[in-house]
Amino acid sequence: MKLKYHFFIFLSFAFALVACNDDPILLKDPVSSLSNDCVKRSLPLAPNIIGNEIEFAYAMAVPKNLGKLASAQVVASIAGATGTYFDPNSYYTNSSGQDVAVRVASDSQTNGTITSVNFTVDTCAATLRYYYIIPEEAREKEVQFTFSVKASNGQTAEYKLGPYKISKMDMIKDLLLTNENCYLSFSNPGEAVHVYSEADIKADPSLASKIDIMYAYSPKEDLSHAFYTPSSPKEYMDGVVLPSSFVNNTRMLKIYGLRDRQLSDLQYSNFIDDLDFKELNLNKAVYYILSLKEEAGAWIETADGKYRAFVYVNKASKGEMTISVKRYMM
Amino acid sequence: MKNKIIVLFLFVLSVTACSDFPVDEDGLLITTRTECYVSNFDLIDTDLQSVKVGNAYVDTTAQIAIMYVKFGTPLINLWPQISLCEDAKLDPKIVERMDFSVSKMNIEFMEGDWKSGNATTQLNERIVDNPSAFPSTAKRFTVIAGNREIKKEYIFLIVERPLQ
Repeated sequence: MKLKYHFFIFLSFAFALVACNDDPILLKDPVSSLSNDCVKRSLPLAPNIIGNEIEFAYAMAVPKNLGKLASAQVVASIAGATGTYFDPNSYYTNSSGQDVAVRVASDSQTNGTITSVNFTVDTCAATLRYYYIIPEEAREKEVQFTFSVKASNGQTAEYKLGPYKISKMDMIKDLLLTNENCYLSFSNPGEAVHVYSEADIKADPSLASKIDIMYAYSPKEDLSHAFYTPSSPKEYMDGVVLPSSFVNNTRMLKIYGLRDRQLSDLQYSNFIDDLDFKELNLNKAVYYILSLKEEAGAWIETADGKYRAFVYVNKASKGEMTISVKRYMM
Repeated sequence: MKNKIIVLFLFVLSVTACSDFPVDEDGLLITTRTECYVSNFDLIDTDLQSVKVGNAYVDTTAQIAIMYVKFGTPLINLWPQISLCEDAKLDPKIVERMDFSVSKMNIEFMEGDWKSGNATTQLNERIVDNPSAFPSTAKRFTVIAGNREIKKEYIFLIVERPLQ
């Protein structure tokens, strides 16, 4: 009985509240000054790799009666590499879902750590995209960004993003391997892998000592796309001859279906990060891999133990193979 | 209310007490089944793909399981998958990747041993009929029947097919 009574009181109280509430209520204070917001558009989980970009979208708006946007800038804690810029366009999405650019600002100027643009049209709101190319200096460091905007009435607003950890590893994509272009070396600085051709080795035989893996294609089904080292059993090499000064016994582990998103450009959210290389155990590795196919790959450790890498097979067709590589220096 | 709970509890207790199915040292039920055989055999490489070509050949009388692998398959780091009859278990247990190169047989092939890349019955039978050619180091696993009284040791052999 008591419960019923309480419930009734509560219900009428709730009714009263709802009934009184006939004016729309702003959940926040009305915007009365220049305001801004920023998001990172690049994949949130993806490791930030030297030479690749980090993309941001910076939104700015000032109430129309207060003025218009004058300029925008970003200060990165470590100056971006060549190619770092503010896209001077604002974008809207049309009915077919495509982004359509509308030019709103001057060309992007980058001076040291500062990248800036001036608005060239009379606008009180815009979203600009900022592309930061990760420089070599940022390797294994953290980068922070301070976005700021100025309005014609002198107001300013600021938005900080970061820190973002920059990976130690290097990445390279879409290298073509053929029976002529077949010697892989993982030891070049700043380059995840370098592919030397037969002609390169002929021209400079000393390069052969840098080779870590030799690629070979055979039309025979059991061999097809293969990786060889000097320790590969000769009976599995089908007459393939290694250069005489190729001595590195690179350790390998065959993998299938590790579709790293950055290497494969497929939709799977798998990422190979620095930690994967650090924790990799290649105690039971092999010295040759046969019949590699699309979406397969291999973990690699160079003979001196200095580099570890993951080779992903993007494409394996008759006579050639396209690979992408992430490499980590131990 | 309390009484009801106590009664229910006692009932559950009595039901539990009545069940007299014994369990073995692994906590597995010991049943009355006497079947004791390997039904299938597979080996998984580091890329989580099977290295098998065609079907594994299991001779339950001779207690031999033969697997044919592609030419050049590395055998040092494989995870065996051994299917058994119902309620049976395997000894030793498979807890890690193994080196199966010790099970590799060297054999001279003859005309008619292979058909479209797969081994023929002729080859299966020739291998089984010649136990003296089995490598002495070959992997062996014991199948233990559901009643835990029957044990059969199987020998596991690997044969590499010629280059295709």
